[in-house]
Amino acid sequence: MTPINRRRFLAGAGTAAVGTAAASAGLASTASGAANPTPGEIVAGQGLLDRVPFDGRYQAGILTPRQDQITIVALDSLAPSRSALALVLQELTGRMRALATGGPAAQAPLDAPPPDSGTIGPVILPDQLTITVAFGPSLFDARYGLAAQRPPGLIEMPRFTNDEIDPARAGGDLLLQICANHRDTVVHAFREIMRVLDGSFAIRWTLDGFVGENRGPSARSSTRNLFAFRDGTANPDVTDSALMHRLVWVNPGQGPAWAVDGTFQVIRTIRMHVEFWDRVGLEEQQTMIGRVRTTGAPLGGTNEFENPRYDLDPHGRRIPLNAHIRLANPRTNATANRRILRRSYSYHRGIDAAGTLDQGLLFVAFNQDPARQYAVIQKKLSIEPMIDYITPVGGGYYFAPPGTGGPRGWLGESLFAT
Amino acid sequence: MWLRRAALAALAAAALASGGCGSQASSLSHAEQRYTKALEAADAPPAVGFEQPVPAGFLRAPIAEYRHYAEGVAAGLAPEVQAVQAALARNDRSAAEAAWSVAFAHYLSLGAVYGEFGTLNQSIDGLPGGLPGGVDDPRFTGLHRLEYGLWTGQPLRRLEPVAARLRADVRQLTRVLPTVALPALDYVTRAHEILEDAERDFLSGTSVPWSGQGVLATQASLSATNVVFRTLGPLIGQPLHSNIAGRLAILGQVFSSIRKDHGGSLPTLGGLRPQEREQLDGATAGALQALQSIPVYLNTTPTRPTPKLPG
Repeated sequence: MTPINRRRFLAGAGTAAVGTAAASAGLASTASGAANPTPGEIVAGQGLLDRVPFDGRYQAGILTPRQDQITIVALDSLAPSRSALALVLQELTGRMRALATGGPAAQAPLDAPPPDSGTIGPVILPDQLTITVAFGPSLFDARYGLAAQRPPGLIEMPRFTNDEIDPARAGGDLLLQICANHRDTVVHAFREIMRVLDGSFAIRWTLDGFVGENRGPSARSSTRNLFAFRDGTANPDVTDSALMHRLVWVNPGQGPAWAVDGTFQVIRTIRMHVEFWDRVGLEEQQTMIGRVRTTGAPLGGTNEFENPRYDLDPHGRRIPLNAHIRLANPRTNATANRRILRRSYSYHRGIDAAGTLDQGLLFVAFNQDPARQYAVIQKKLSIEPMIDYITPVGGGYYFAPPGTGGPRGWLGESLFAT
Repeated sequence: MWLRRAALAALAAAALASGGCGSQASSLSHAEQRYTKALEAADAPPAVGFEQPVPAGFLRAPIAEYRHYAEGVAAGLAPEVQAVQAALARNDRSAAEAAWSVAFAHYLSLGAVYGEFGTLNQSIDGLPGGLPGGVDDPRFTGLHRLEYGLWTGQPLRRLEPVAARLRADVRQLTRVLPTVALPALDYVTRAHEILEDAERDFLSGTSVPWSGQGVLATQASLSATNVVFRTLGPLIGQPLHSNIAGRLAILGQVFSSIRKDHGGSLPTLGGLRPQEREQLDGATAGALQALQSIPVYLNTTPTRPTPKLPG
């Protein structure tokens, strides 16, 4: 994320327009100062002016630190031909770029339907919006002549032990991951993007997610999932470029040339049976996870980021051998290469047929090779005691192509150039 | 109250007879005396739990009683599967569905022993979710394979081998059941887990996807839970005992009233009236809120301090 220069942004977007937006929201536009912030200061304080660069070697929304809000959308292509599909992707990229960059919303004559819904006002503030595109394995079937270009790792998500996958909540030709600091920005972007996709793509399934607020103790502390445990503690360091090229990005020689600098995205909608979980003793909860619920420290420790030192606990007397964190990441040299980059969210989608809360984890992970990484971890987790409290109900394997490379590029360009 | 004390004395005697507290003495061990005393005192509050773990010997008699119950249930399964086979042979789908429902509910009323006989449980009661071939996977067998075939219009002839296999598996179950271990920790946990599973899998409909027999399945789970609670009852002090008994009774009444309003049989999930649905969901959740205290209350192992992480 690049914090954008507020003065330059306001100049570019038209200060008057932001002022108008603020005024219409009932914000007084008066002299600067803590007591009477200007409209620009108000939106800056909420992160609304923060912008994530859209164009680049890699797509945004992968190494980008998690924004607070997400919507995942899976779509099936209705495009009649390969060239029609490529055209839609070009148009989609243009719309995504405009939304992520921000600026005055497009206008039309008064008697025409407005080209922007206007739900976030006349000036689109970037709000760290990222929209990440990925292709499902089904896009590489016979329809568009892309079969030979399918990255070998892009297969239909295997059925893992304990899976109860609902086909209506899984798969899809195209996946969009829309993230931003605020929910209204995500909802607006989804709606605008569908104007481009309507007629060419049908929505197959969608799911909204959120991140728990950081409630400390430090800015670095991981936030909690809906089982109340801190999640994401042991994620690999996204600022370590060499590590990202070992674990996340596809390098030359690893599959078709067009896929270089892309990555495999794994989505799992994991229902968490929270009422059941809440009726389990804390000690049992902690031994299932392997961490202390309050601090997030590995059992026996005091600080979240402590090394659990499995080498000193070979029989699992401190952290059981089937604890979640131990199975998922044994922290040995041999297992270092199977780590994944997690970017998960919590979801709450109402109630189920039995009137119980339909809450869970919208698991999002990026990895270089699911067969070597995600699938291995998931198979190890098949014996964890936590399986009684969760049910994987949806998701899929997808491939996020490389970034646009620059302001003239489009997502999928390298694939369709083949 | 004298009833509870009498039951306790009987329990203690059973524990001694089975060598539960070491064979050194003809009197109760210190742990058992402490627990007995605390239980008697618990006719008054505190509501939940004792300071000390329950002596494991006290759970021998309840577990033995449950095992006896489960063996009886298992023995009854074979003729019920036979009834399914007979209906299939007559090519009578609705009779086969009715016979299936009886056998399915009866199997679920095994309750607390589920999961203790591993692969046999999978082949009798497994769902196709984790199988690579889904509903077409050859390893998809048993009650749910029959459910799938019966309610999706598959030719009944094709289900006959499935039913034959189920009958063999059920026979095997009666042989295996007397030998399965039922550890104390598992048993007291099942006091709430049977109904937890029912709420998660049956009331939601996810584990009865074709028949919709979630109401029947939940009632079978309640039956098993009632037996577990009855066996553990003498070990549970007041007011917790009354609270649980009351919640279980309310749930039982909900089933009776639904049955009465539907001509003497339980409807499918889809056949519940909205008000019945709310009462059933609510009474199940209420029972679970009460039952959640049993595992900690009847914990047989003292909490062990976690070794410190050297740092």
